[in-house]
Amino acid sequence: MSTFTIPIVQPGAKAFPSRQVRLAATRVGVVALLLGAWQLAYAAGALPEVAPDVAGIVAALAAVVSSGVFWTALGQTLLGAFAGWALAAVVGIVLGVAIGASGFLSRSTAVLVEFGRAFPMLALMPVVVLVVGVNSRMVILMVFLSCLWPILIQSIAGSRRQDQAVVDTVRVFRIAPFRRFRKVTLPAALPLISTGLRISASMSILVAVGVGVLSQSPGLGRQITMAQEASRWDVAFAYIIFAGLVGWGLNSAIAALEKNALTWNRQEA
Amino acid sequence: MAILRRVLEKGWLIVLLVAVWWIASADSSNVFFPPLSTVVATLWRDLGNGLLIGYLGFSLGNLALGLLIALVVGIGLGLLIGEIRWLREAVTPFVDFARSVPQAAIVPLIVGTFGLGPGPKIYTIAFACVFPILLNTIDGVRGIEPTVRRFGRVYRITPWRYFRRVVLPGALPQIFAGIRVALPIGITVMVVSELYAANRGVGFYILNSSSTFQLAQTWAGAVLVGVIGYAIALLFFRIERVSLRWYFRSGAMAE
Amino acid sequence: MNAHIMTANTSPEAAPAPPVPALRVEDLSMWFGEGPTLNRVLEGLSLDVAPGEFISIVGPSGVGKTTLLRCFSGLIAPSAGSVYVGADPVRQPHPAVGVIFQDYSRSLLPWMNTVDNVAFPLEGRFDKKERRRRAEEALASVGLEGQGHKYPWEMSGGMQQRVAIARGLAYEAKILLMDEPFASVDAQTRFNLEDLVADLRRSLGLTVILVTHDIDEALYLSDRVVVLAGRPATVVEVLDTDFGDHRDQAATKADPRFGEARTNILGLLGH
Repeated sequence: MSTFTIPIVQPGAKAFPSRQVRLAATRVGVVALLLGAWQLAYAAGALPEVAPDVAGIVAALAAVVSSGVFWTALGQTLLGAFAGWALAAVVGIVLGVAIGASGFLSRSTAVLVEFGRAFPMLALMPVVVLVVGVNSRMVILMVFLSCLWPILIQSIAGSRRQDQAVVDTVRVFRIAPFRRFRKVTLPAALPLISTGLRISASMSILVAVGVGVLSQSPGLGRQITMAQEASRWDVAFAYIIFAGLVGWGLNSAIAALEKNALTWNRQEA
Repeated sequence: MAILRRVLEKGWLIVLLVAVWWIASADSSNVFFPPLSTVVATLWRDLGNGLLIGYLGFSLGNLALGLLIALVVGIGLGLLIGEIRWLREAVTPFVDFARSVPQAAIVPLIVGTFGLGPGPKIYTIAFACVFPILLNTIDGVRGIEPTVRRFGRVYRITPWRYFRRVVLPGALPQIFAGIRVALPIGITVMVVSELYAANRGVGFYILNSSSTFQLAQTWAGAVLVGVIGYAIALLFFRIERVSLRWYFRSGAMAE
Repeated sequence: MNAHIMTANTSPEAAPAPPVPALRVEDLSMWFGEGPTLNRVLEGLSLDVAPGEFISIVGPSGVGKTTLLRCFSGLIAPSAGSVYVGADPVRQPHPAVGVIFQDYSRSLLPWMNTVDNVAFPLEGRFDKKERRRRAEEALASVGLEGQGHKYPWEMSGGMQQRVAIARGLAYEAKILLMDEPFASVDAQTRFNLEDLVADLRRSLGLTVILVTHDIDEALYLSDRVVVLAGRPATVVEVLDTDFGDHRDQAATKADPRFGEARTNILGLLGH
């Protein structure tokens, strides 16, 4: 019997509308829902007096993005974040891989590293500000201090995590130490190292903005506080949204980069 | 004997660093880096006279409440979003975006509008902490073995029971990982919110003393925060070990 | 070549009217995708399984045996045709049907110990004491008496699969669907488990549908063997096994008719 019978239930993809379209529509729906809820709250007076309505936010978004002030501030924040992160990357990876290679060093530094990760570096800000002053060096220092630990931890872990079978193979074939480091240890550590880099990259922006908020150093953080003090919530909102977009964009870009560069390592993150 | 060796191994560096700090700063006349002995003495004094205890109570209380809110919202929403595919796909980009917003940037707005009290701080902590918990809960739910799901359907386990007895325990290891990430974030936001605007709390203690150039207190406050943060991390580690006994033991067996 | 088989009730004491089959499959077809990506997996399958019968479904890897079993269990709906358990059409998992998955270690819940795992599907139907009693009973019947306190990951593969079987028994499934349940255990354990299932079927009067790629296993355990092959897959042949009711790993497999049947099936599968 090879003729088709009328199907009762049909599994498999629905013909129309396609999944992509439906997904996009749902997302648009979510946005509409959120905006609508905000507007409703505004109209009902449930929001604080200074809060803008949806139109106000949109207008502010346009105004901010077209103002030179925004782009300058963005540049300052990004520069500070990147410099601090890059510094942390160099120090963290070098130290981390070296420490991880030695069991003794790993165990000795475990407590210190754990302490560093848990320590809220921003709590040191008052001291740092007093010592270094309110300038870009201070920002870079704070970003460095905050980003160092995740990178360090992941580098140590990556360096330690050697597949036993690989270790044995390397020993049996008597591979020289330096070659072993370059061709085996380092590549094996890369996935975890890149995780650390990714985590701390997003962190760098958060810290840079946070430093700006607390110390009024030039950048997005300062603009937000200024806007808030001038009761221009719409501008403050716009800045916050853009800060979020920048962070989000950065995160997505790094994740995409990671996926392409490390295609050989399909491990579940 | 082995235990003694392990303790020594883990501790020698710390002891060394503290000793170096102590000695190097002993004769310091630098206003910014007072002797460690003075810092410790100040810390002791302010703990003893109840000042810091009170401040700690305020700060940690806010942290606890903020975390609690983040847990309830994060796990509750996470279970739902993780389980319902269309919801997850629709909502994920927005969650990713919200997570990228610098939490410190929210502080001026919230505190500026709602004032110095504990409420705004609690909500800011909750907002910052909810994302790692939410995202990890979603991951945990998604990571549940397909075979387990099929089992649930074939044996007709009711939805409520399914969530409570299958999804939640199954996702728990990931949820705990999320909480582990959220803790230092919460502590940071707790301190930051007090650095920005407060009249109580450990962050206030740090800020106030630095602006009056009593650096010994500033350092004391920083040390205290560090120790508290570490202690919380250790405590959480213990809790995780106990709650996820089955998980750790099964992993150990697999090796 | 597809055969449209009605209930094969060949016993001389046959009742005048055939009893309602435990499981009936009518003209089942399954396809995925559409248009250029259309993938026709199963085509026009029909089958009746009598109550208490042991049926094996064999075929090459990827032919669609698991998909077929999923249709029986109500996990997915067929593209065309229908499945009945007794007189009820199957649209979702039926209370009389239990499934033993191939991935036993992944179908047992690692945060519960064994007796809790077995008792879990009974929650909501019985109180705690009764659930426990039934679970202990089921564990005893699969030879795991007193092991209830252990966790699944503390047990070997064979033991875990027994737990999964016990779970189906406690659930009071009348029809047991088994999806290559013994593929992941060693040969020795496999023989023990096969005999266990055969004994349980006899003592409890269960209907068992076993999907397997192991022809010997299929012939050893079943009353009838359904051979699935082709693309899309169809029922190529249904063989009666006439090796008697009481089978033995050594003796039955040494029986020349066993070898003939095996050769027969291998031929049907294209070897």
